Amino acid sequence: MPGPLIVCDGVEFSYAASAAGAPQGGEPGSDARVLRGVSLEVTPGEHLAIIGPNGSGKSTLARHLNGLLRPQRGTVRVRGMDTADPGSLRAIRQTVGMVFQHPESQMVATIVEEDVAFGPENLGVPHAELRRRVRRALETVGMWEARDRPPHLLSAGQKQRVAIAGVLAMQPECLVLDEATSMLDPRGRGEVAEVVAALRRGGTAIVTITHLMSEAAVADRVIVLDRGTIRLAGTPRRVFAQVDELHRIGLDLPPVAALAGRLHRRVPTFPAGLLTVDEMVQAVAARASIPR
Amino acid sequence: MIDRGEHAGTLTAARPGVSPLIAVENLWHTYMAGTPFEHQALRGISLNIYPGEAVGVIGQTGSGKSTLIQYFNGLMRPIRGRVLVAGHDLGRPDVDLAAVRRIVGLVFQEPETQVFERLVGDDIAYGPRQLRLPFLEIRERVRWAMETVGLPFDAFKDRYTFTLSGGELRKAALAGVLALRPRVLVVDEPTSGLDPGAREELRGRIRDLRTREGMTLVLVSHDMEEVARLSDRLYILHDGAVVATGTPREVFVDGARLAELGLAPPEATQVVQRLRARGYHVRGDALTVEEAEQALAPLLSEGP
Repeated sequence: MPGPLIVCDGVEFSYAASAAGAPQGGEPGSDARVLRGVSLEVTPGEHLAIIGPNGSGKSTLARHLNGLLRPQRGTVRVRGMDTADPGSLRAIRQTVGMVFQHPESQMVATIVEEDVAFGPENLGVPHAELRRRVRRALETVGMWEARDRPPHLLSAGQKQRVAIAGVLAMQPECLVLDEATSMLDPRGRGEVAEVVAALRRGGTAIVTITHLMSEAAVADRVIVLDRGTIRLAGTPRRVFAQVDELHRIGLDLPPVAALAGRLHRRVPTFPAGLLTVDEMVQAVAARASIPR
Repeated sequence: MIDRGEHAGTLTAARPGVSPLIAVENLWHTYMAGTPFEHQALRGISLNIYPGEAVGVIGQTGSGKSTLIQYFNGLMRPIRGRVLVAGHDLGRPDVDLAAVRRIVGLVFQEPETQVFERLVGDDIAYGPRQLRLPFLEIRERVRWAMETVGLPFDAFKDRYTFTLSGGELRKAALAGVLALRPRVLVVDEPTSGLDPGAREELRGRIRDLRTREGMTLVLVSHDMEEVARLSDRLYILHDGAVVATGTPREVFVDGARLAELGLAPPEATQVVQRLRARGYHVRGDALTVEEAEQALAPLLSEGP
């Protein structure tokens, strides 16, 4: 089915809810809005990265994408279903799965395989199908061999992959990773990045909320959030070329982008919008000769 | 990359005439010994931390870093091997652990989860109060610790801890350890999970502790850019053993060896090393974006 998977339209949210008719109680206060009218779309199969400083509203926005939070103004629709409609929440959460910073926070069972089976089992998936799903999910994240192990004895990266498998077993169309790699070491991050790449090849949309500019650099599209509003949006190449604006917001550049920007200032013909080590090596090699 | 010049032949980087603040000799540690999950976390580690230096400890998850640093302030006591902290032998049953913990301050990963008082000032004063210091001394220590991490005393001491941002809370937790006035500060992943602005600020504060306060620093981090910028010397741990030591420049120049150990040098270093490998005349030891710019600029201006 064509058309956007998730549509956020003018989403406003405050934890100290003050707006009349807001779903939560709370004392009236000044403008404590964490989200101030955010509109965005997630299209099927795309990889969207959302970046921004602490307190910019990234995680709050992420929690709106599958109805963990509901907007106080504006709407969020997942496949046309309004997250404000309690009757749709079950279907919405099957469509959009979330993985958080601490995988322990979403592990429930004492054995990896049972943990991954927990979600679909509660959906009433028949036994044979359940086993197929659990196996496919664990194979996708490369943890099938560890299916009999207790989760607490896994490394942080392995735990996060099991947490992802638990969500995948629900067969979502979109996976939201809310700083899912921020506590992992480079190897753990590499493991999660491989899983993300495999899911994209399989057509699953990915929304990554991250502090790591190098993670945002590999997305199809980047949205920069600052104090609850979208400041910049576009391809990583375009967003990371806006050096001054990013700096003003308090974000830094991926190292290669920063290096490209500096070399571009020295040598104007040198391309400014580079993101990866490969691109940088190619660009320098194309402009310099090897001395004899 | 291992131990060139004066340190050749040993992985503990001996310095004649200077005795180390922390000396670890042939330290072994086994988790869950005697069970099917038995795991050797440390396999004969020897290393030295000297007064006033900043030492980075790097290695993959599971290499033993976090286990090792728990020995530095006596949270763990050696069963096999020896750990000396300013002469206190942690293996002796009569060791003065309180003294050891005043010498070495340990800041865990995500220390903000250990903030428990309602007011910021009270949380930071907790340690000094346990030491039963006089009121004015406690107040001065708290003031100094807060100013040092960048939480102005008058503005923050009466703030509720739950109103602090993630970065401020992390700084408050760090201040709580600094208020004990340790000679050695051990920090485990001090900037993980912070946004770029807060990360940069905290790194500056940690660097100041070293340069202005003369504090000895042990930094455990997965962020190679951070390690390269804050450390004088690195130890690489792999499978519970020290496999290399040297300055960041010496250690990061051997990209192939690092890759074997599951680590990657900073991206700026990767760029210059890849170009060198292709035959370009470029310094291969750049650690930062600025150094890589300096290294690459001559190539581009003389290009075809």
